[in-house]
Amino acid sequence: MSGMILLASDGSNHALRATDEAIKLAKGLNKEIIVAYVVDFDQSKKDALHSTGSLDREQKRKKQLQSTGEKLQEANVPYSVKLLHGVP
Amino acid sequence: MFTQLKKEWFGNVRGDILSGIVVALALIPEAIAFSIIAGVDPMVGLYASFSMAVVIAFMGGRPAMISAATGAMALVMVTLVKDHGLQYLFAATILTGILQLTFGWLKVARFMKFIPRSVMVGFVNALAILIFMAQVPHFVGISTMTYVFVAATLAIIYIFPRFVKSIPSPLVAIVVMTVTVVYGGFDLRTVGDLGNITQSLPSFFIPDVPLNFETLSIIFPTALALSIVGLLESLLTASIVDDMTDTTSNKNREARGQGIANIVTGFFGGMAGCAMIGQSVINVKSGGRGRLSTFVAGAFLLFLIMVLGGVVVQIPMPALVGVMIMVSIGTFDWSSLKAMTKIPITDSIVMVVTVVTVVITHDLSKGVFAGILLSAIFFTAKISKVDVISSREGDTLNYRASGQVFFASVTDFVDEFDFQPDSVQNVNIDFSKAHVWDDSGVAAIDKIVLKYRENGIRVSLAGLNEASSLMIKKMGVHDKPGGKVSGH
Repeated sequence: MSGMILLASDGSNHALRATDEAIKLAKGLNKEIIVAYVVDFDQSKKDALHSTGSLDREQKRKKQLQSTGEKLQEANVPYSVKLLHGVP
Repeated sequence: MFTQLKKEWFGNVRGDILSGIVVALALIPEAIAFSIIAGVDPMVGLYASFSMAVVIAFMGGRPAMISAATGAMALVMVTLVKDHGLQYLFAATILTGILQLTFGWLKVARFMKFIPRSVMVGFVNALAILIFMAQVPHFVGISTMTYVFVAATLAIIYIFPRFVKSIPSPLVAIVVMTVTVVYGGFDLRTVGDLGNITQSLPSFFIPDVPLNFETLSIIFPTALALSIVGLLESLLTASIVDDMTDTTSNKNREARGQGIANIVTGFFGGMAGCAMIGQSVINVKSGGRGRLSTFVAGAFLLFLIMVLGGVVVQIPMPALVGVMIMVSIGTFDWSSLKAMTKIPITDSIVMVVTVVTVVITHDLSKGVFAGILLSAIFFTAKISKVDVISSREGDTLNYRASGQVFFASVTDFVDEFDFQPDSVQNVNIDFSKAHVWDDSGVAAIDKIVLKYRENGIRVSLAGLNEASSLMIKKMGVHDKPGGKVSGH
């Protein structure tokens, strides 16, 4: 069976639990995980106000996904990260 | 070039037309309410919103951003309107445009990075507080019915979107309240009590003010404040829209566009405007991505003014107050209150000082200046800590300096040295982790070297980086024959 597992994550505890589940699935079904971090419109407004530029914003967002990334690396599951903008 | 233009205009026709219509509907209550804040007829704000939007659609640097009459600008012009009247406001609007155009040519956008985030947060919070304060005289202590209508308006604004998302809920609230008042016969103040609405097209005219130095001295301070506030909010909004749509924009072109739009607006009898955070967010949320959305918003607004002119005067004031309360709640950055416990205390102080300055002076630009000044002082204080570590080997005393050696840090820097150490022949000062910035820093090093020499101790400086040693070579005296510390 082809295909990938989509894991929506914002780095929260809920998202980390979802990460555990996704790892289990990925290992069992031998699939790749795509981590999607969605910046919704209100988040954009807040982040733009609180950051000095787009580089700064990108860094902050990557930092939020750090623990998710670490988990996936530890589990040795192939994964990629996508940053999306819009309403989920 | 041509394909880029085509994409910016017609890359998203359906979404742009629909979102433009939504924005036009949402603009009506705000344009009227901001006119009332500024103390001018509703037409002045409505014309401004039309011409700002249409001109910026062509001239702006950020497609899909909405510019119109705004609360921030309205608040700055209150005094000018009260003291000198409408014609001077038009003249100030034109001058604002000229100033912004100049700032745009001077590539003002790169200076935005020097405005600390805490000042920007203070700016939007102060704006929210001022918009709310401007509503107080319109609903406090008038009648019980006024309170009821304000509450009902807010209820519709916040509950209606749960059922229908496509129509802006403030407009629904305004319509419902107006119909209720007209058919229910309630005795409430209406927009008509505060100003006139004429169902005519805006026309080109030159403001009726004497063209002399006195006029300039009246309008210049307001125009300067307007141009700064306008550019601040516009460039902030541009970066918000950039992030929402994950695209980039030309900030200097936007600054020039704002200037051109204000010049045109002034000549067509509108008040100065700028980009609006709230409306731009509504536009993008409703699917607007291209220049067409901004154009449709302006054009459809003019159509609505023509059709609805007579009805607008019947809008009850409490309904507008409700809309403005919603605007101020939406403008306030609530996350900044939560963040106060986490961010450095100096950032919070800068934010609060910005807000307090604005609330006291009723001038957003003064608050921004106060905030920038204060954060510059905090920054200087923060980097003015120089660490000096000393260690002793026999008759040699070693110092290691790390940090920035400049006017604010030299006093503490010099105090770190022991000038009368027991039985010391040599002093080595290692500057490899330090940087000497100005003549005060050089003077401090002179003083240290010469003082040790006076006490018969040999001093050697090491590890100075290129810029620092160059500066010492140019301005220092200790390495020159007959070097003495100057008196001051």
